[in-house]
Amino acid sequence: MVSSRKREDDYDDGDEEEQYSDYEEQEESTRGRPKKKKRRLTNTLLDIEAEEDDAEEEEEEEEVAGLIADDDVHDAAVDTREQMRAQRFQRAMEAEDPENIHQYIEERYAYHEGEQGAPDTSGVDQQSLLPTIHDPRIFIVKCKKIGHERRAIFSLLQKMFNYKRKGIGLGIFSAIAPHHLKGRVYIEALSSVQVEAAIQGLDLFTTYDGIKPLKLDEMVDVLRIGKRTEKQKLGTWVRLTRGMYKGDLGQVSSVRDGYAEGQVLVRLIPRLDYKGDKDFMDDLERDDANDDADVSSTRRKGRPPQMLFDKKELYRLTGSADVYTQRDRSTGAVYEVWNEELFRYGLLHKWVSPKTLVTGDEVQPQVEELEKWIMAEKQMRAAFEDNSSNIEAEEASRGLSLDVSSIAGRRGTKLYKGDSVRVVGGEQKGLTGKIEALQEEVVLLRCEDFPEPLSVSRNDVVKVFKQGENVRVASGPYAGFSGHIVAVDGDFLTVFADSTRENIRVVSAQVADASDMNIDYSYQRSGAAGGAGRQQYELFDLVQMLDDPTEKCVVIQVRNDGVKVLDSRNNAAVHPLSAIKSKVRDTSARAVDSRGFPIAANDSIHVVSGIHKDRQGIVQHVAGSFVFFKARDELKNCGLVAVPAAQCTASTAAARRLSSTGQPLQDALRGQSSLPRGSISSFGRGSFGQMNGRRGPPIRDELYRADVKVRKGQYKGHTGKVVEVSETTVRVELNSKMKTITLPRASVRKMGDTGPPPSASVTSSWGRGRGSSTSSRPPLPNAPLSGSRTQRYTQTPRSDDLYRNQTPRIERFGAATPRYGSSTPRGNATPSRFGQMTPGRDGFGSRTPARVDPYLAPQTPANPYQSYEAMPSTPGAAAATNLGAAYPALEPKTPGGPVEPRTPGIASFEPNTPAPGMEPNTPAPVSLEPRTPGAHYEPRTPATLEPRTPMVGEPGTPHTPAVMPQTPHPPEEAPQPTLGYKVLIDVEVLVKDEKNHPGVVVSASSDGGEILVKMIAGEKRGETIKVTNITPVQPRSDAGEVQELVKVLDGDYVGHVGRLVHVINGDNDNLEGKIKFENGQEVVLQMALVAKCYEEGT
Amino acid sequence: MLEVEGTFAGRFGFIVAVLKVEGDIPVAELDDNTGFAVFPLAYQAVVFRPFKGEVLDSVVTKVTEHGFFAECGPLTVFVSHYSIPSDMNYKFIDDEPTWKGSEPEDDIVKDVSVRLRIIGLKIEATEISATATIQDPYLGRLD
Repeated sequence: MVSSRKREDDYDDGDEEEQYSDYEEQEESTRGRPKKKKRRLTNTLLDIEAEEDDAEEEEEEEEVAGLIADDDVHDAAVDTREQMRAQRFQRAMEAEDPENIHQYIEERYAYHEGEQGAPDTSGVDQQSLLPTIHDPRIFIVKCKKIGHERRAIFSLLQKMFNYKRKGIGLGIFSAIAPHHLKGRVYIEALSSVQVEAAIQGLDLFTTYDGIKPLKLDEMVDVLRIGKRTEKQKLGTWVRLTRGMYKGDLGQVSSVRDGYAEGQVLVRLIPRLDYKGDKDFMDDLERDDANDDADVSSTRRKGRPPQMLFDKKELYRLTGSADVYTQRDRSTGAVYEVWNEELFRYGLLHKWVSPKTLVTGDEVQPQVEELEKWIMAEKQMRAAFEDNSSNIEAEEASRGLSLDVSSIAGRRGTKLYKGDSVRVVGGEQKGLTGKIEALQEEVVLLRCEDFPEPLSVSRNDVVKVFKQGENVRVASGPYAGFSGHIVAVDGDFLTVFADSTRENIRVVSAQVADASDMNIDYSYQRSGAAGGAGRQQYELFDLVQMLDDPTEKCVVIQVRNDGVKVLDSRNNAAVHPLSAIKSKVRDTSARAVDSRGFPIAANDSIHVVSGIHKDRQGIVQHVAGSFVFFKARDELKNCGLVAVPAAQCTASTAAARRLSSTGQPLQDALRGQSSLPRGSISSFGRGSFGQMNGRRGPPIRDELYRADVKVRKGQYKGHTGKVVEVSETTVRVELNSKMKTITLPRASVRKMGDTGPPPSASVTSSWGRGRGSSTSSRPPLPNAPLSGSRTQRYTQTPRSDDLYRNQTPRIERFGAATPRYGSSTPRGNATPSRFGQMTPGRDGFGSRTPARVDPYLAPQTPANPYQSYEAMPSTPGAAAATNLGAAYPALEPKTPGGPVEPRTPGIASFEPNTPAPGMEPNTPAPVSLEPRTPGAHYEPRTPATLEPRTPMVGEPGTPHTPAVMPQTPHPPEEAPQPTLGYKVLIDVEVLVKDEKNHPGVVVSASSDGGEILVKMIAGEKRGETIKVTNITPVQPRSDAGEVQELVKVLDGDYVGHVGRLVHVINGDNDNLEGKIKFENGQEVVLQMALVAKCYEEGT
Repeated sequence: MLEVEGTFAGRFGFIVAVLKVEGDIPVAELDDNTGFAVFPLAYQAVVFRPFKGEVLDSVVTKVTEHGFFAECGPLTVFVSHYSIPSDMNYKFIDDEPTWKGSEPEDDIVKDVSVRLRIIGLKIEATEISATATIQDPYLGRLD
C-alpha cells in the first residue's frame, strides 16, 4: 500500500498533508461534496481529497482517510479552517446530540455550496482563520533519516490503517512533511501524549529531542511555501549554474519527480574531450564537489569546447567507440551511452537538479550558441528522416521538437503596434502579418490573406525583419548598435552597424526597429544594469585621460568595462573607466585651420595636407590643435579621424565670412600675440587671468570663485568662496570655519545677488568665445592703457556675468578688487584698446567709421585717447572702474557681446557730456556723476538698443556693425569730421534727454559740434542741440508693407535716400536692409548705416 | 542665408538650392549660447530626397570585403556583400580591392559607376545614409 502510494505521490511535486480519522461514518457525507472545486477543501477529520486529476487517488480515497493538499498558503489556511470545523464537529459528536449533528452538517453543506462560487477568500478572511489556542497544536517530531520524511509519514499512515482495522483511533489529526523542511515531521494533535502514542514503534521517528509544540504564529509558516519552485516544463530553455556546463544553454528534455527533488533531464551541447577523458571527468567531478570556487580553475585550464557528440569522431580519435545504447525506462527514448553520459542526436542529456537551472529572461541565447543548436536540430531532423517517423511524432507529441526558433525569436521581445511578426506556434504557424493591436496575452494580427485580424498568443509570434530595414539592437552583447539589415537568415540577422561599420550577427528577438523609441528605454535599462561605461560616456564624447591631461580622446565604443577611445594620433585603444578623467565640453573650443580661420565642432573641413590629404568631413570635436572629424570614407573607428587643425581648411560659414573681410583670424592673432598657431581655443580664459589655459565648465561658471552665501541647510547663513563648481554642486570654502563643504548649487547665492540662485547657465559664453578670439593678451593691470580701458568699460553698462565679476557689488564699489577691473576679458577685447588685434573689427573698420574714427581723428570727442586723458582727471576714477557692474539691469538682455562694441563710442562720448541724468539708475551715483554722460543714456541703452543687437557670438567681427544702431552716437559722431552733418538733414532723431523727444534735423552746421534740430513734438522746436545729444531713429526692421523712407548715413551711398524694402539677416547675422533708392537702384546695406527719414504723415 | 544649402534637413533630404524665402522675415531671437540672432525662416528649396526602392546611379568610393560604398551626390550608400550577386567575389586585382564579376566589365572597383536600388534608408536630423542592392536585373556596373 505504502509503496504504491509513494509512487503516485511522486507525480505530485508538492508537499503532503495527511490526515487520519476514525470517524468513518462521516465519510459518506463528505464525499457527497462536489469534487471539482477550484479550491480543494478538505475535511481534516473525515474525508480524503485527492488530486483531482489523479484517478487512482480517488479510488483510494474511499479506503484511505488520507489527504493530499496542495502546498499553498491559501490551502494551508483553508486546511486550518477545516481543522477548526472538524474540531467543532468533534465536539458536537462528543455531545452526542443528533440534532446538533444534523444542524452542523447542514451548515456545512450550505457553507460549501455558497463558497463554491464565491471568490477567493480575502486577506482579512484568512486572518480570521489563523489557529487559536483552542485548536489542536502542531508538534515537531524529528525524523531519523533526513530525506525520509515522507516515508515516515507513510509509516504513520500505515499504522493508522492498522489501527483503524482494529477500531482504534490514532489520536492525531494530521501529519505533515513539508518538502522544504528537512528532518522534521509535523504532527497535529491535541497533546504531545497523542503524538507520542502515534509514533510509538515507528523506527523513522525519534523522540530524542522531545516532541516540541509549535508556537501558534509558526503554525502557518510550516505550511507556507517560501518560493514555489517552478516545475520545469518540457522544452523550456535553461542555463546551468554550476559544474562543467555552467552558463551553457540547455533545453529541458524530461522531468522526473524525484523522491527528494525533482530531477530534470537537460539536453546540452556536450563539452567533450575524447582523448583526455579521464582528466576531463576529474575536472568535472571536482567542479561539482567544490562548487563555484573551483570553476575558475577549471576555466583556467579551459573546459573543452562545445561540440556535438559524434561516434565516428570518437572512434577516429581514440580508436575505440566504447558506446552502447540504452533505452531510458521512463521516457522510452534510446540514448547512446559513452563515459556514463547519455547522448542523443549528438546532444548530451544530463540529469540535473532544477535548482541548478536558470530559466526566464536570463537565458537570452546568443547567436553563437544558437548556431550549435541549429546544427543539432539539423542532425535531429536527419535522424528523423532516417528512422521511422514515429520517433518524430513521439517527440513532437511531447512538445520536444528542438525548435530553436522557439527561443531565438521569443526571448525578451517587446512587441509594438505595427511590428511585422511571424507566427511560430499554434494553428496559424507560419503566418506573417502586422500587429494591429496588443492585448495582454494576445496580439491582433492583420494578415494579407485574411480580411479579419487574427488573434494570436503573444508567445507565438516573433518579429520579422526585412533586408534593408534600419534597426537597433536592443539587447545582447551588441545592445545599442544600430544599422541596416543586410541579410536575413531565419532568426538571424546580419546588421551593418553604422558606428563600427562592421557586420554583426544578431538574433531577431534582440533587434527592434530603429525608430522605435521604446528601445531607448530598454537599452538604457540594460545599460544601467550592465555597464558603468554606458552611464558615464557616450559614443563620440570627447574625454580627457587621467594619465595625460593634455591628451583628449574621442569615445568610439562604449563597453561594459570601459570605453574605446581614439586619440589625436589616430590610435584607438580600450581604456577602463578609471583611466578617464572626465568628459570635456568643447562647444566653444576653436582650432585654427591652415588659413587661419577658426574651426569649431560641426564645421565641415577639408584636409589639405598631411597623410589625410583630400579627405573631408564634419568636425566632431576640437581638442587643442587637433580636430576629430567624421570622414565619410573612413571605415574604422566609427569613421572618425584626427588631424592637426593646421592641415585642414574649414569650409564653414564662419570661415567664409571671415575670408570676406580678408582678415583671417590667425593673422590677426599673430599680429597681436605670440601664441602658437592652432591653439587659440583657450585664450579667453587665459586672459581671464585666473586659470591660464584651463578650460571647462568650472571657469565658465559665474559661481566660480564667487563669494556666496549659503541659503539652505546646516550652513545656512554662512558665507564663503566657491572653490569648485560642477553642474549641480559647488564646493564652498567657508569664511567662518576652516572647512570646505559641498552644496547643491541651489543652496548658495552669490553675495549681492537677490535674484534666484544661479544655475549653471552659460550666459557668459559669448564673452568666452569672444575673449578667446580677440583677446590673447594677459591682462596688463599696470599699463596705463589698460587703465583707460578699464575705465571705459566701467562706463559701459554691463552685467556682472560679463565681467565674471563674482565680487559682490560692495566690493566693486569700494574699488577693492582691481583685479577684476583690469583682468576682465572684456577689457582686453575692447576694440578701442586693441582694435588692431581684433580681426573682425578690423575687417569692418571701413564700414564702421565709429569704431575706427576715434583712432584716426583724435580731435573727435569720442577719441579714446582723449578720454583716457580725461579719465585721470576725473575724480573717482577708480570707483568708475566698477561702474560697469552697476548696471545689473542690463545683464539678462545682453548676452555679453553687444556691450563691448558700444564701449568705444560711449566711452569717448562721456568725457564731453555732462552727466546729470545718470544718477537715478546707477547704484554708484557719486562716482559716476563727474563723468557720466547724459541721462538719456540709460533709458536708451538697455531698453531700446539691446533687444536689437543681433549677433554676439562670432569672434570679433559680426557684432560691430550691429552695434552701431544701438549706439547711435558713434556713427553720428564719427561722420562728423569726415562727412559733415549735412547728411543728417531730414533724419528723424531722438534727443537724448529725459523724455527722448523725437525730432527731425532740419539743418546742420558744419563747425563740428552743433546741429539745429527741429522738434516734431514741438516742445523744443527750433532749438539748437549738440550732435552728440541726438541719436538717429532706426527704421523699423519689421516694417512689412510700410516701406519706410531711409537715408544712408555712411558708406558708399552716403546721403542717398530710399525706401527700405525689407530687412534680412545678413551675412554676418547682421541686420541688413534692402533699400530701393529713388533712382530705382536697389542695394543691400547694413541697417547700422541707415536712419529713418522724416516723412510727412508718418 | 545660403548656409543651409548643401546640408540635410532631416526628413526633407539634402537641400540642393534655396529658391526663395517664404513670407516676411520674422523677429529674431537671440541665442543665449552663441549670441547669434536666430530668424526662423520658411523657404522653398530644391531637395534631394532618396526613397526606398529608388534606383540611383552612383560612383563607388570605397570597396571592402563587406561590400562597397558608393556616393550618389551627397548620399553615401552602402552595398553589402549580401546584396551583391553571389557570383561576384571579393578579390584584390592590381592591389585594388575589387568585387569581381563574371565578366571583367562587371568588376566593381573604386571610381566606377554603379546603378543600384536603395533598400534601406536611415534618416536622421543631420544625415541620411542608405543601403542598396545590385542584385536585381539592370543593376550593377554602368559603363
